Amino acid sequence: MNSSSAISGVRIALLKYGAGNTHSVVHAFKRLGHSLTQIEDVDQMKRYNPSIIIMPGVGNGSYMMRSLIERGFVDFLQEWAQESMPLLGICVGAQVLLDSTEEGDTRCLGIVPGVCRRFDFYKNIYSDMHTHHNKINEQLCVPHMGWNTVEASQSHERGGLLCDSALYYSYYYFVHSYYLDTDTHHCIASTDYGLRFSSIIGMDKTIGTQFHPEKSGKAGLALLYRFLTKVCGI
Amino acid sequence: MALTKRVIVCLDVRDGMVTKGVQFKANKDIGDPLFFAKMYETQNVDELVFYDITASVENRSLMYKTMERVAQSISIPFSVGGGIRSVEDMERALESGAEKVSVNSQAVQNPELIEYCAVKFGCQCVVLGVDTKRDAMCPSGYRVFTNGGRVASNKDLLDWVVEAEQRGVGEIVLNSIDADGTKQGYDCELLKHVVASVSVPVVASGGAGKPEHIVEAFIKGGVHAALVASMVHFREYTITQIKEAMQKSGIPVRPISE
Repeated sequence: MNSSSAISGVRIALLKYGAGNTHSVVHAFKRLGHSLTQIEDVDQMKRYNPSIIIMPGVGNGSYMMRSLIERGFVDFLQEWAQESMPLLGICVGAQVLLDSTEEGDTRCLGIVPGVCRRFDFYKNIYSDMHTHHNKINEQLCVPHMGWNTVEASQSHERGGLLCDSALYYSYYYFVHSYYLDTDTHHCIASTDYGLRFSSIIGMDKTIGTQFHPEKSGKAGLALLYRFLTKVCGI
Repeated sequence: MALTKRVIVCLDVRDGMVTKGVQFKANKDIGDPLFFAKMYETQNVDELVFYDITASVENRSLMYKTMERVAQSISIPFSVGGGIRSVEDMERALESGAEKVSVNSQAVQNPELIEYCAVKFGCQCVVLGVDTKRDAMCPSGYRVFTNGGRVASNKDLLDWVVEAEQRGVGEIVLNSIDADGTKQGYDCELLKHVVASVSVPVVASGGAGKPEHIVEAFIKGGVHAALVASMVHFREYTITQIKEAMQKSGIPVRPISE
């Protein structure tokens, strides 16, 4: 039997697609009073008939896309997003929302316009030399790993909704070697690491976070809570 | 605004209890891992590491059960290390809720373990733990040790960390056997060497006795994170005090109160 959320009528599906640890996502939602149901393929998804889908991501974007294709999720997710149903992608789960990723030159879901690119700081040092900037004073590691700030876009309507409007920025936990590159219309918040990249992306009710809200302490739980209340309307 | 420098608390766990040794010897049990995990999360620690020093195989499953309990009650990242011999061991550790898994001796003996784990789970969750000791016979001046620092390997430190990075580790925790447990400060010269040789984050370990030592590791050693243990376990200092000292020295930290 599927377990259902404490709040009646709310059915949250957690995409499960092979390797990767999804426990922390499950525990985080549990702390907010919701249980997630793990869904492994599209038939199970249709039977479950969810109201919200969470797409966690660990590992490799190319591997994840292959797994989504094998499990029949691609068309389902694209239609889901087109019908304005709430979808949250985390880390690699956010990266595959874009048109493509440089990781294994992979075509992705194309739900949010943009491209996922690899951090390449040698290239940046080179271009900085040409634009006469002189800002590289510290070796930047790849992966970008640790707590960094996420600053809400002032122009994006969801910026103030999803981010803590009282704070303007918060610290969240990141672990990634590829970053989200979108235009300003789809950039809800951004982060600085050698360059400024989109750390929360969005299109209608689809939201993607490059960081891990489920591992970001109180700030992360607060963001998940705002996703549920402000985007999903529960 | 920038990526902040991390303070990581390391908890050695034996038979399900947190324990602390001095220079890899004479451990004493100091409490329940869950209690420590919650306490340090409240103090705004950035990450936790649980290192399994259990000798027997049957008590290893006790470790995974303990990790599952930890995963349910905290919402910050934690890693697990100790006794990881295969891809299956790593999978089990990740399944218990850990964010990253640390390999040490077994990777020295079987370096391909790093590749297998990195391909299956991604580089970001494979941490290389290295125990090292000064040795004039090695080109870099440091030799790699295994088995909790007891056995000398034939590897030079810098050769090993560069090889491990190429094979796919996403982070290196560097423990100085000479400094560990002495509370005299990290070996900053060692840290600087390794930071300059690899492009993945380097974590300082072994030797911290007061907040100034951690500041030194960041400023002189150039590391991305610092591991602390006894100086906080025995309540001599809190994470808050360490972060205050870092902040005063201009090191970016995750704020003490949110």
